[in-house]
Amino acid sequence: MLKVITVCGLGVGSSLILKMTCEKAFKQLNTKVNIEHWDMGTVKGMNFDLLVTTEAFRKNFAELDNVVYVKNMVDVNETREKLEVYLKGKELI
Amino acid sequence: MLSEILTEEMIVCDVVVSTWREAVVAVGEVLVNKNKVKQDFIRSMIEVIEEFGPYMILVPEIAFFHGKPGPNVYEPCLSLIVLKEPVFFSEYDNQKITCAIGFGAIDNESHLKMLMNLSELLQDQKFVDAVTNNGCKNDILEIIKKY
Repeated sequence: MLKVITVCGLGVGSSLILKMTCEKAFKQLNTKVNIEHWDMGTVKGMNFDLLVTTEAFRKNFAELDNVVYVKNMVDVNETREKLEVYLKGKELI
Repeated sequence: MLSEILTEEMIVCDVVVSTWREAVVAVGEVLVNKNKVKQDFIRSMIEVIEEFGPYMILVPEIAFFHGKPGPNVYEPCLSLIVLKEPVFFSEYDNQKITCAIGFGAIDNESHLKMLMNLSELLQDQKFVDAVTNNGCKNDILEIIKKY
């Protein structure tokens, strides 16, 4: 099962809301995943298959190639479309 | 139910502020005035933005301001202010907000249900239209009733 993390500054609010959005999006993609929400400080050095966060943090993860960025953190359609592109690109679906 | 948390007294419309910092203080003051958080919590809300930028703009024009969870928060809580005129984050691509939600958490998880309902509310286009166009409080409360 894919290990997915959602990330925001504090790991309590925005990342939790994004986790809920991702859960719905992955369900629509029929992909089983394990999603955790974390803060920027903790995430460095963590192991995960995919990190999902907001566009605002694009520059923070420039060195990673397993990150999906969303503009609207409650938009299931946007998130699903971006996840689908990523998963297909990695031949995971 | 979100309507039990985001009650009439936790919502202020027609708020006049001229900077994002004033907007944070305004939405934080609602929580302070109702004894949901300590005054220090507002400083924490501002520090998060100073450190990471306005990443908490969850939906275009709607910011979800929150500080560090812990002893500065008495109970999981939400407040909502609707701005009369937008304010901008000039340091960050001039991103605009017309509405701010204040959020206090006591730990990392106990507010899960509250945020699930908030997430549903933020997907309601009627709500988004009302709060980003200086809508009236009664209309906003009417929409929140469903969540």
